[in-house]
Amino acid sequence: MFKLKTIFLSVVIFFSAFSLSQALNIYQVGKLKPRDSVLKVKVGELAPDFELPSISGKKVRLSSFRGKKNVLLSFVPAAWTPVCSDQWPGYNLTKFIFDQHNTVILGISVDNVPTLYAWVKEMGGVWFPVLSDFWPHGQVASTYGVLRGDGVAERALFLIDKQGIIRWIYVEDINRRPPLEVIEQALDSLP
Amino acid sequence: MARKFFALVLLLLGLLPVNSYAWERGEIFPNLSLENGLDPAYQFKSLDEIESKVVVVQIFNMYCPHCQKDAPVVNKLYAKLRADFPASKVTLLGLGIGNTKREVEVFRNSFKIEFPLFWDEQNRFLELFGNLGTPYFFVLKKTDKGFQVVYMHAGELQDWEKLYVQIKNNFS
Repeated sequence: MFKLKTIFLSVVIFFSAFSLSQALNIYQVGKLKPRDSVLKVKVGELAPDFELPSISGKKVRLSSFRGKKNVLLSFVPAAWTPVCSDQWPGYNLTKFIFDQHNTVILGISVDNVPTLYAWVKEMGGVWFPVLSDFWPHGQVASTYGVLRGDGVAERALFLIDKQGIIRWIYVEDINRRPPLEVIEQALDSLP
Repeated sequence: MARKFFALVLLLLGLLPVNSYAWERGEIFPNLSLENGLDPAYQFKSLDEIESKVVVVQIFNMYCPHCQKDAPVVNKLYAKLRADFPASKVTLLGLGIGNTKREVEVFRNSFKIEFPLFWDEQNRFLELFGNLGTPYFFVLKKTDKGFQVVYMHAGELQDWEKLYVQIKNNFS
């Protein structure tokens, strides 16, 4: 009887520990509705200007790149989620492609600065500014029409040329990562 | 009492995430399609076509920072394997799960990888190994039934010599 009780307790402890570690490490978002917003900007239009706080502590204004660099806005849904954590670190390896096209990335999510700071640090850092669209909540994402009903952004890319004109828009299924090929193709077609 | 005990075990098992399939030593590895290789010299219809006694499979993702950090270590392992053994004994290959051809190409060029890498055209590797986390390593041994899993390593290698010893142990 004592033996059975010991086995019983060991099994309960094992599974409790297993579930706990799973819950602590990765939040299982499951399969989400691929897209849940309607774009409010179009290719050919002037990109709406904004200023957001970055994880470096400085504020970054979109129009400050005008006349100097093309800009790729990379909206991601949320920090600490599986697909998002496997997107921006890839842009570290592909920096040479962005450099060849005189393009800077502005990474944006609706998380607050401390959350983004810790997340980016955990990923080993990225070469481009990471901006917080936390407050007023998701205002920039909403202006571009990529704020979802649950308050996170779509996984979306906006390529803006040196004149501040939107040249390409790509809203990916939130469950997937935009393939590098489509980004390269868009950069190649910049004037 | 025993009945209640087994009922509880079943209930707890049901609470486990659906995709938590655990690979085990001894099981036969799926006969993967390996037609999407970057290097034309390493085009296989499937895994079982490889004639080496041992195959080491690296599961990686170009976007994963841990895989990027680990790439030079895996290169050292490959250099040691190539220096010590002929291809008939061991093959090391990398599967870029969820990665396109260009993404795997960037990974290869960034780290000057010389062993064969494969991209994931239909996300088939992702479906099979997506729950493992990257990087992940399998050591497989050729048997009559196909390649059998003899060793697994989750996460960065850090110490490549440990995996080298595991590989070597399976030549006899």
